[in-house]
Amino acid sequence: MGNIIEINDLKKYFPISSGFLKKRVRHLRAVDQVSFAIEEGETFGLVGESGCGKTTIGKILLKLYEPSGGSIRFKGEDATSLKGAALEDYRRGIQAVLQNPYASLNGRMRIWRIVGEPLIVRGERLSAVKKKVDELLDLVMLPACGDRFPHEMSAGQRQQVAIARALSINPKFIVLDEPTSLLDVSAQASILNMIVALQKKFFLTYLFISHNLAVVRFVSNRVGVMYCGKLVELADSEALYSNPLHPYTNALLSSIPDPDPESDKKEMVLEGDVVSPIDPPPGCRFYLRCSERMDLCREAEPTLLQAGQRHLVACHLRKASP
Amino acid sequence: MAGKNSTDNETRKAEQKIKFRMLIRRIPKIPAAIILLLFISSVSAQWIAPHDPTAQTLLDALKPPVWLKGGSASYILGTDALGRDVLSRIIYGSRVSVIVGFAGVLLSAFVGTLLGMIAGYSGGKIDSVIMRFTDMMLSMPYILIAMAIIAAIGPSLTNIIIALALCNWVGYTRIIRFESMKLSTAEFVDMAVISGSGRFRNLFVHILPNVLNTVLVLATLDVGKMIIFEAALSFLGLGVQPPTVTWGGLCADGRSNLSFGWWIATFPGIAIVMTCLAGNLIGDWLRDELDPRHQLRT
Amino acid sequence: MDEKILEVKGLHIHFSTDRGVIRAVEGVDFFIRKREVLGLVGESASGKSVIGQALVGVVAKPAGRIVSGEILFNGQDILKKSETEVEKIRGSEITFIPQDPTTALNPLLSVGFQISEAFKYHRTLKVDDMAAEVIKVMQVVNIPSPEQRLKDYPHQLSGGLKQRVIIATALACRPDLLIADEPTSALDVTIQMQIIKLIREIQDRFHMTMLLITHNLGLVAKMCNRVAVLYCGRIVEEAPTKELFKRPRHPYTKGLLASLPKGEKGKVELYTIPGQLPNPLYHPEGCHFSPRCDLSTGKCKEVPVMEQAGEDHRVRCWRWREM
Repeated sequence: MGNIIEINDLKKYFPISSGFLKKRVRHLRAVDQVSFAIEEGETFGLVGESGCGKTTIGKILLKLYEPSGGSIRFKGEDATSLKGAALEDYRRGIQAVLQNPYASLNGRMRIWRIVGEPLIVRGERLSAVKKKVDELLDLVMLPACGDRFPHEMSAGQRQQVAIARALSINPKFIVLDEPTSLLDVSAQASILNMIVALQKKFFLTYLFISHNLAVVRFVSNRVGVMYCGKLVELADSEALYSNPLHPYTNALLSSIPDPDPESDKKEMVLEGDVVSPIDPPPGCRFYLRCSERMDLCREAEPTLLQAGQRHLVACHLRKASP
Repeated sequence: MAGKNSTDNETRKAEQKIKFRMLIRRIPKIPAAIILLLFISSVSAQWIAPHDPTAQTLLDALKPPVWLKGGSASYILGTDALGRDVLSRIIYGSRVSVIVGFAGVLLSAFVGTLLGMIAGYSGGKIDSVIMRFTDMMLSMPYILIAMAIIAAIGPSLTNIIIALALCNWVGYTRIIRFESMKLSTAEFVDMAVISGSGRFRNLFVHILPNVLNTVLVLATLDVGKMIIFEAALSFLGLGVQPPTVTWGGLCADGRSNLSFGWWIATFPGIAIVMTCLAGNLIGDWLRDELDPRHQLRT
Repeated sequence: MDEKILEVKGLHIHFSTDRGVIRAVEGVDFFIRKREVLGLVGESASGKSVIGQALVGVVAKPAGRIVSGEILFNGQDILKKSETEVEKIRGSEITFIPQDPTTALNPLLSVGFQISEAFKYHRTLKVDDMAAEVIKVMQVVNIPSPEQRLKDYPHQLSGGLKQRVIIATALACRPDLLIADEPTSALDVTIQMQIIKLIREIQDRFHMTMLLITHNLGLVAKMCNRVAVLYCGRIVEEAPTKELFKRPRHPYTKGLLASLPKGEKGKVELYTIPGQLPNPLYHPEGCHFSPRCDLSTGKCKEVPVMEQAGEDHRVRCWRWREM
């Protein structure tokens, strides 16, 4: 089983012009030299708070943004900058389920038209499309709903429609960006079950982007933690949860209130605000909020180094174990 | 786990019928009736008009409406200086108003919406170019533009429509551009791109259906404006030329007779006002009706 | 300490829409004791937010109507008070923290001004004292450098700071009752922690009584003394927090707790409550949860009454004993 996705030193900088005559150009470094690989068949969880770059990475992989630097490989072949037929091929293999169930479906179209769009765009006959859509709707447990409109469906059902649409052209890789963040607890549970079951059934690979660590833990094999555009820790899911190495990961884990009143989980409250990645100062991005910081952290940016089996961390405090 | 509303498609269809009936009940009756009347009179003018609108009967010139002294039942709204029946002329005049009103609106809506969508969805240089052009048009008084166009290509019905459309499209562009801009950042447009849809296709398959509501409201409100516009041109002598009857032309005719034949200009004037008002009221109702926030009502 | 500061009795709130009447709140009774934190938990359309709105008198008119019921605050029914009297209470004795700090602040006014509005309406202060009081309350919520921040505008502040400003406004007049409607949902998780810690400190320091409205069970576990679970406009279970999480008696509560994601991948499928939330226009007859309940029988077509299931533990279910 090889890697289905490999990103290397991926960068995405957004120029922000400020100053009176819009002369001064600063850069929002949304994604700053991030590298990781996703194996075929696994779920890679990407966690972080707002502004960390996780959604931007998703959008780059979906070719909604062009990267400013670095490279992407898809199924072993270079996919950094694609156009025309190569781009069409790429889009066949990668689909998405996005966060907002109300905004990701065109309210004026019927469900069958929405789910079938990837097929219709590629010139399939409408009768074939309708047949395939019926199968897909059965698969996501929305039988005979093809003629309805989105406004007749609940948020959870809309996400089911989004999942059906994502599966319509048999992709190998699906980017899920916060698919359950806007759902009620009961809808969330059924969508998560569905996502996991479909992965087994169709041998799919997922990039699961979320800020909710409990959910990420439930679906992911491996997890990457992002802060301010950088990948700060990367490990197998259970290794991350049982032995978090980066101070930010620690804080993140302790900030999810446990639905257990008798939980004695240590509370770690981070002071300060989420930092914006606009022209960041040298050194570690987490410096200002880190309770264990050293002088070195202000001067030199830590690189992602091996700190255990399949466990990488970018922190001066956790020196690499040989 | 079948549906939010009800568990099967039968109940859904029954519910939809009920919703449709309730919608019909909500339409504002009087304005709708006036617009309907307008349509009927324009389509069946030759059958419902009591007289030939161009028939001059000098003996019957300047007869007042039937309820005044000297009026007669065969000329309900009186006659003009050449003995032509005012009522028949109004009925025939509605044809031009309807054509100009609707064709003019259609054409200007088409041009304005197209430019607005392209500007809003594309952004960047294309947007700048279109908007600068729009600003230019907006800064010029429309009557002068219309006059210039008519002077150049001559006053016929088609040319009037073209002239009016060319002046009026800017009203759509600004607003539709704004809507398109908002829509182009919506997730479903991203999803269309991910599904493989190209930019051009997105414009017509995704953006257009979602701006149609706004276009519909703007267009309905424009109908009255178009009719007044045409009337103004006719009044100035630049509209559709006689012997074709237009409401504006009728007002122009009656202008010189205001003291001794006030009915000649007044009744066409009332027709213009009522049509315009009806159009505006329906447009307002439509705007409220289509507003998603209008769901909660007592 | 056992004194009830707020008592809600038989509250019914309806919303009229062009498609029918939504019974958002159907006969809700609860009380909050002094210095207690009560959690009102529910999913969409449970009615929890509407109850919060009713307590501060901002249920959307004319569609929303409080059809019947009493809201006794310090013994007096505020539903029977005039708007002027309610205005005196709102903002000073009962205050409200809404969900989204960005839309709750006026972008055109400085934060200092907006906090001072709480003082302006409810206390008579000299202008010179006003700034000092505002700074004091900003310090209470740990806003750094309050003297400089006075003149800042909302867009210059981060989400966490904005929420602190809102909390400052709510605390300005030392309210008896603080109502928080999803106070942390719009914030990043590490900032959520800060705000939770802040609210807990404030609660400790000022012995405030609080009503926390949320869908987040983790938040409830951390912050509340007692919890009331709402489903489709009715309270289905109410108990002290530990008791509710340990021994849930209502099938819905049980289902909710069971469907929270826990543990790692591949271990177990999450429990899902079968079916869906019903359309708010068409609540099922009798017990609203019965179409989705494993234990439902014919008797469930009758609305279950609240029964005592332990000390301070109430359940609205005919068959709770059989769990």
